Amino acid sequence: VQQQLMELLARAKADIESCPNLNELVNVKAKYLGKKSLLIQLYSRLKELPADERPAFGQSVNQAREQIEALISLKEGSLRQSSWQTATNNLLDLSLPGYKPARGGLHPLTLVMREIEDVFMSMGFEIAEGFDIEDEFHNFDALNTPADHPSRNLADTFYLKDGNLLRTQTSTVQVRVMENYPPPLRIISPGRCYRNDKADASHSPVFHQVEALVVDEGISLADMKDTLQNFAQIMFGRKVRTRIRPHFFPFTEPSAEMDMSCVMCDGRGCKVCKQTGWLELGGAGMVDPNVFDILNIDSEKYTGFAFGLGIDRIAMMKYNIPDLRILYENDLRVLRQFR
Amino acid sequence: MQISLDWLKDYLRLNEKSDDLTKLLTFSGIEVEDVRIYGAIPETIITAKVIESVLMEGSDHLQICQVDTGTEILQVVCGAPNCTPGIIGVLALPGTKLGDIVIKQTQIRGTESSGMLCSELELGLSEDHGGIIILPGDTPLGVSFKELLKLPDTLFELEITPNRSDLLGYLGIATDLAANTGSELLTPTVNDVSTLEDETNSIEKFLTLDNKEPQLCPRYTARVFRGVKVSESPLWLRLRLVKSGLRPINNIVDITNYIMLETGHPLHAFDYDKLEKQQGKPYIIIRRAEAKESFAALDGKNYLLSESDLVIADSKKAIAIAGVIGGTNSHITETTINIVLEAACFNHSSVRKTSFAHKIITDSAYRFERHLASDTAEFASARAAQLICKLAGGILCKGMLDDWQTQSNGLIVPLRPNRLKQVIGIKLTKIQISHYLTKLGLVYLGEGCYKKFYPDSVEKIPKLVKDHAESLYFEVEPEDNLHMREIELIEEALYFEIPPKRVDLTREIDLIEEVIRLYGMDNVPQKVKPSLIMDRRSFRLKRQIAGFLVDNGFQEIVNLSFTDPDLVHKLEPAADDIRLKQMSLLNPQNSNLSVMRTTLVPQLILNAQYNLNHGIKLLKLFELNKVFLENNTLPKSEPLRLSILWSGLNIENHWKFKPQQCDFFQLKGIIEDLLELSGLSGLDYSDIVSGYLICGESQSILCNGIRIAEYGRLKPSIAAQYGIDTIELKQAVWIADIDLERLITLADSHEYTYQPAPKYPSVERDISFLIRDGIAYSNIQERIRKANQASILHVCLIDEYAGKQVPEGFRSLTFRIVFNHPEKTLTDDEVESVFVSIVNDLKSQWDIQLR
Repeated sequence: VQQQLMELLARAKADIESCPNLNELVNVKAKYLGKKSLLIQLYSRLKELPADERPAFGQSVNQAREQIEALISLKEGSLRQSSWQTATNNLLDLSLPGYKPARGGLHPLTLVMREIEDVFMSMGFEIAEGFDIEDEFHNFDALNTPADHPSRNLADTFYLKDGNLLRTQTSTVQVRVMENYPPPLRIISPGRCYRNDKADASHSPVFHQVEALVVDEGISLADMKDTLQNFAQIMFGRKVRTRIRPHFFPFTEPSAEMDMSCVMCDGRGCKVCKQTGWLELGGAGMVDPNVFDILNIDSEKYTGFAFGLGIDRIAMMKYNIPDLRILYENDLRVLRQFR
Repeated sequence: MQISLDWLKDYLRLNEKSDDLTKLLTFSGIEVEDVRIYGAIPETIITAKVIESVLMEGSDHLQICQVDTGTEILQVVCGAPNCTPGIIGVLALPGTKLGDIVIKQTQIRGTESSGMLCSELELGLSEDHGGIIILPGDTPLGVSFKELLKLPDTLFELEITPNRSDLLGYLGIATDLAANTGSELLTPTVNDVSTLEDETNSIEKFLTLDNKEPQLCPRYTARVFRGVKVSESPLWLRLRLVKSGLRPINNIVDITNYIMLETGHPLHAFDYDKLEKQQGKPYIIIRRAEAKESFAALDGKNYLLSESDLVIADSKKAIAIAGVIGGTNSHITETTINIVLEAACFNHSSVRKTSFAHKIITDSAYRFERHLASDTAEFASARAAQLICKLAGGILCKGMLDDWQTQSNGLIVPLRPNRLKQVIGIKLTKIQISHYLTKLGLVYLGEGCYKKFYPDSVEKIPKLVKDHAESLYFEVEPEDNLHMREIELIEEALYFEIPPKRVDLTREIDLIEEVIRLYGMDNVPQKVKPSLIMDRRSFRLKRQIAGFLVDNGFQEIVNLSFTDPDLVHKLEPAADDIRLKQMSLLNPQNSNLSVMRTTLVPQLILNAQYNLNHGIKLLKLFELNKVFLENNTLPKSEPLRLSILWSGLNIENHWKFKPQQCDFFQLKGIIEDLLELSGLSGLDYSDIVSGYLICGESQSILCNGIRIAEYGRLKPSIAAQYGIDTIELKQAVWIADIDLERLITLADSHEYTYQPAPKYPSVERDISFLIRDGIAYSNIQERIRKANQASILHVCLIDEYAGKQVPEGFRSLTFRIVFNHPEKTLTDDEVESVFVSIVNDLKSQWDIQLR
């Protein structure tokens, strides 16, 4: 029997050593230690032996089993090591490009619009939406625009054949909001506007605007300057400065135009800002008491400010786009730059 | 902290405003975390006297008792060791329900028994099961035990915020409630304590105090009692402790705990005779522990103290860790005769440090570390003296040793009514303000002015000055006169003196908080700022949908709102199609821009044509924008649309993963996923689509019968009209048009609802069927899914095959079925039987064979 065990051990050792991989090792293990293995058969012969030989026999079979087990676990360890070592020996050209699921992209106008919305929402503004097709009341009358004001001309405003018009500014939304909600109000209204301008590098008959409106007790021009400065700095960086200068709009009094320091040259003067150091952002002002009166809001109790920003213009400034028309061309070679 | 309503009522005559005590407490800043009913015991449990008891034959503990209920004599078998003739116990009459058990008229080992004498545990009053309840000898017989004990009681679990050390006892809670409701506060009096004292035995004869650490122990008081009898506390006292979450021990310890619960001020009692004597009497020394001083505490543990721990000691040994825990060397035992009662105040941060360092959490440490006032020590000591004399007998030595070196004057804090308005938003009158604060025990000193110098970075507590007219006058001393501008603001202010127990009130703003707490935060009017203008759901959904498309490779396009009127005609719509009713401009710039668009599709096809002409073959485009539909009145109909165009390969060229031409199912998947993310449900599919799509390669989706999307392959003839030659390009153009406006209206708010992950393992089975052409996959899938709803988790298609192996007119579909039961692991047999039923069902329904 000892002889048999020695041979078995030798065979097992050879098999284990020559075992090439982990899968094969499982088979080897079954062969020498499994239910039908020689070792187990030897155990069953224990009963046939005289009682005094049994302990010695049992002991030697056990020893053999332990040795085989030790060899297998040793081999298993070294195979696990080498399984990944061999992988590194396969020559992979790791410089080959990876597989990227192709991303699409939003239109630059949407990107800018969303950024503006997010900035204002973080400042506690709500977003209000209105209609592109409006009547003269909401676009002009309620905004304190005289009946003979030149902006009502066909050369400036698009009219539909049914007498309605395409809004020339998103201020129409502030009218609709004030008609329906009492102050305090804190809204922005982003959207499309239409003006009868011939398309050129800086004009388009369709363009986008965002209008901000704040109405509450004790709102002053100082609040407007604060909001404007905050907006500009969040949007364009902390270095940006803003200023307002007197201007005229029918629906604000006092009215102003807003500038910010040129983002290209930090206000030192360059081609983009035409050497002025300033870029025009849009119109602004304190809501004219007449507008409140028309909309039945107590103009003694409430004050408010409003300002409008051109989204197309901001997109051009932000992305250095030289011609407004590029935004409406939808050339994928351009749009894909904004992915 | 757990409090009993019954006990609370000792200190408070509750009025009608106190009905909803839970709400009242919570809204005055004392949050009620739980409310429980305690001792809901039946009426049929009465007091009864054991007049005779005989040990039952053959038993070593069962006694046959004759019990007097006042009206009759009943025979009751009782096994309790403390059941002896003469005691008055609590008898549950036959028929009484105790939990799930009904007490019956029964025979115990052949002896008639008419009821049960009860222990505290049996009645659910405490954990005590050492014997039956024994009531005082003067208790009337035959009365309802429930009424005798004023049960049931209500227990409140309160969250006391760490700043409110004044609320750590019943009296504090009662004071706050009284201030809140206007109920009458019933503070116990201690005037009679001196009458209890033994004039002949002055405390100085028995004890000396030596406070070596007045910083860490601002006050230490001690009383001595001689000849007390330590025993079990009476039932009412024990139950009150139990109801407040404490375990009764013996009458002396119970009384110290009782008074701690009443006043919020922890007490401790020492066994006088265990203290080391010096010149005939013990010294109580308050000192820092020595380094590595060992102390055997009452929790059974040994602590190695350090010099940062404060101890109470006699001349030889530490007898307590100050304010934290007592020691085994001096605690009250049944043999104790003479006691020292400690009522002291220890520095909160010192107690906290010690409690933290040694991880000892006790009711005493919990209170001291929240900063108690020194003042209450005296009252607590007197209250305990009253109770000890009453319940444990003994002689109270005359006087109380009191070491109180750092007695301070009451703090004075001004409150400006204007400042209050600034903080809480409403103006309260001076009368209101002083009314609320005096109810909390603050003393109103009067009006004065409040001077504030600018600049003054820190608002300092002003100093009380009396001017020549004897009126109160406070000012803040400037730190640096040179830099103080000559501007001073004089404001009207009310001055209050803070009671010592309110250690949390030191500044004006603290007083403002108290006023608003009593005024009611609920009563502060809300500033109206509606935020309801914005449609947040629609806003979010639009962004989500656009984001989804971008993530899937689509590029957003923006086209003008007006367009060429002929463009839509090229889609060959039916004559009554709403898209043909375009609104015209009165003053268009040119005919190409003369009408408002009614669909986004034509411009999108033109965008494709433009880009194809520029050599871009893989097109994945979408536009999300308004269209304009004819409507006679304002506002016009300006619904949102989403149009998608896909042409060319399904993915970009890649060296390893080869692209294919995109097809119907890829587009369909995008649309389905998009609707799914919108939370749309109840969808139906239809083959009816607009004329520009190829029938048979296009589909529409309806939600509740309303068409919300159509998608499919653009007819080559129509593509050609827009200048795209699909034949020459060898690629199809796929279009989807979605009524986003309707989708947003129909979309659920799409809130996620948690479903537990399957508890038991799933079993997957694949199965192939031979299916005659014309039978739709969706019908079969649905049928399988519904075959056994409880155990089928998921059914999906993993292969479709038609070819050599499959007869003409048939195809093979392979389904993967995932079995999972929510309540058990499915056995092979169970899975097999569902499997067989599916096969049989499909066979009988459509004559579908297994492949």
